This record gives sequence, C-alpha cells and structure tokens, in this order.
Amino acid sequence: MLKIDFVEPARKYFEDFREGEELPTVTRGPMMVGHQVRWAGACDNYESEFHHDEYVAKAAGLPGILLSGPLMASYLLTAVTQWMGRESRLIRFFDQNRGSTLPRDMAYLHGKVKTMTRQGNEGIIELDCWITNQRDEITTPGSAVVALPLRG
Amino acid sequence: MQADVITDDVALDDTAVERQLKRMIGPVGDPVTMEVERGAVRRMALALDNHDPIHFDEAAAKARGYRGIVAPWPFLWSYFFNCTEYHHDFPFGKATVHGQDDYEFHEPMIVGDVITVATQITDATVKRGKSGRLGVVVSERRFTNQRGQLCAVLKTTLLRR
Repeated sequence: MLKIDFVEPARKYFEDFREGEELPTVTRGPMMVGHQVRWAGACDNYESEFHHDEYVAKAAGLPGILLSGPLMASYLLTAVTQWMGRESRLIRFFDQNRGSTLPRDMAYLHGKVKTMTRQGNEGIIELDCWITNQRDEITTPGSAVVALPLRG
Repeated sequence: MQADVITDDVALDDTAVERQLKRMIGPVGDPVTMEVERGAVRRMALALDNHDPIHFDEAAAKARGYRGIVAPWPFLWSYFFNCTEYHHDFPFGKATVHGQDDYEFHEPMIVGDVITVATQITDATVKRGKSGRLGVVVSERRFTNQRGQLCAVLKTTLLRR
C-alpha cells in the first residue's frame, strides 16, 4: 500500500484561542464530481443518481450534480478538528444544508471562536463555522463545541 | 392500508396532516450491527483529505491515547447508509430534502469495535414554508459500541415538501 504523507494537527491549548478570534480559512475546490465519487465510495452509498449523473440530476429539475450535504459538512467538521488541534475533543457539531454545492464550485471553510469557558480541568470552546462559495453565499452554516486541555 | 391514510393533502388541513405525520414517531426497524473496518476507516479519512495518522496507524493512535486506529467522526455516515433506513414513507408531499444534522460525540469508534445503530423518529411537525406545506421530521441514530458505551448520537432533520 502506498505511504500516506501524514499531517498531524498542531498541539493546541485552550489558552491559544480568544473569544471572537477568526480561524484561518480553509480553501477547498474547485469541488469536482470526483470528490463526490470518493465520498460515495467511503460511505458505500451510490443510491442517489443525481449525486453522480448530470443527466438524471437535470431531468429531476436540479441545476446539475449536487455534492452531498453530509460531505460538505464533513469537510467543515474536519476543519474544526484541525483548527482545534490534536489534543481537542469534539463534543457537538451542527450543520444546515442551506445552499447547493455543484461541480466546479469553490468551498471556503470559515470558523470563529464564539465563547470560551473553563470547566474543571479543561476548557470548552463554542465556535461558529460555515462554508461560503465563490459568490460569497453561505451554503453550510454550522457550529461546534470542543473541549481542549488547559496549558496548566 | 389504514382507512384514514391521507391521500389528498390539499383537502385536509395541516392539523390532520400533522396527526398523520406524528404516527411515524418511534423506532425505525431493528438495531443493526457493523464492525469498524480498518480499510473503511482509511477510505473515509482519505475521502476527506484527513491525513491525521490516528486514522491510519495503530502506533500513532496509541501514542495519542486511543485504544487503536480511530474512525473519523464522518464515518457515522457509512453507518447511516449501510445500517439504517433513511427513506421514510411520508403521508404527503413529493420531495424529501436533507435539512440539517446535529451530532453529539462521546466514546471514539476504534477499528475492530462492533457498533450497533438504533434509529428512531423523534419528532414530526407541519409548518408553512415559502412553497406551502412543509413537513419537518427528525430522526435520531444512536451509536453504541460492544462495551455498551455510547459513541455518538446523530439527529437528522428531513424536510418534506
């Protein structure tokens, strides 16, 4: 099996963040049908033809192939775990499929620290996260709650 | 078919439709069990360009304090599609849209674990949207490992138009 170039998320502590902080935007895309195909493979789910066949999608009145909402949300969730670092523990995640993502669309993953509270020997960070496309439309608003160790 | 199943959603008011919809509340099928496979975890991590070694390498995962190779949380979707029923028999409307998801995370899912998923419909209401009647149905999937530990709860909201 080919070796994978591992990328371990950075080591972060609660004190490394501050309320209101904007997290570095992650750029994904252009999104392609191949991304959707890989997702379908990972889920072992090929049921919705409009997720991989443009003819079927347009016949159903859609503008084209739609990338799966849970796929886009999963990119956003992954970005949260990378922003918060290797010591973080994801507690909650929420996302809404507000707008469609079509092949050749861009996806910009944004995050902003909303609240920070200490609970016992760890810190809890609530953050807003969302995806915008190349037209600056929010396709996927979301939020997350993460636990982080204190620097001590 | 029951005698009072709604066949004409224009003739009946929202209250009657909601009453019909609420009959969906309750368990959906029996709980289903599936093992967390190493190759499946690898495929999911690669599909999301997640190259954190804890999803590929046992030594790396153990060095970070895990029992073994960790499934990235989006792996829940593999269970969603392989282990649970996600097409529901709505009593009205033409199209179902996947509206939103609310995830709650507990014990990590580790390669070799045997996860059981139980699905139930927890809420069903009728609203008035821009395009008319809108059914809002919430399904909940609870993921439990072979030790009886709760791993995750995924609440999916489907919109029926």
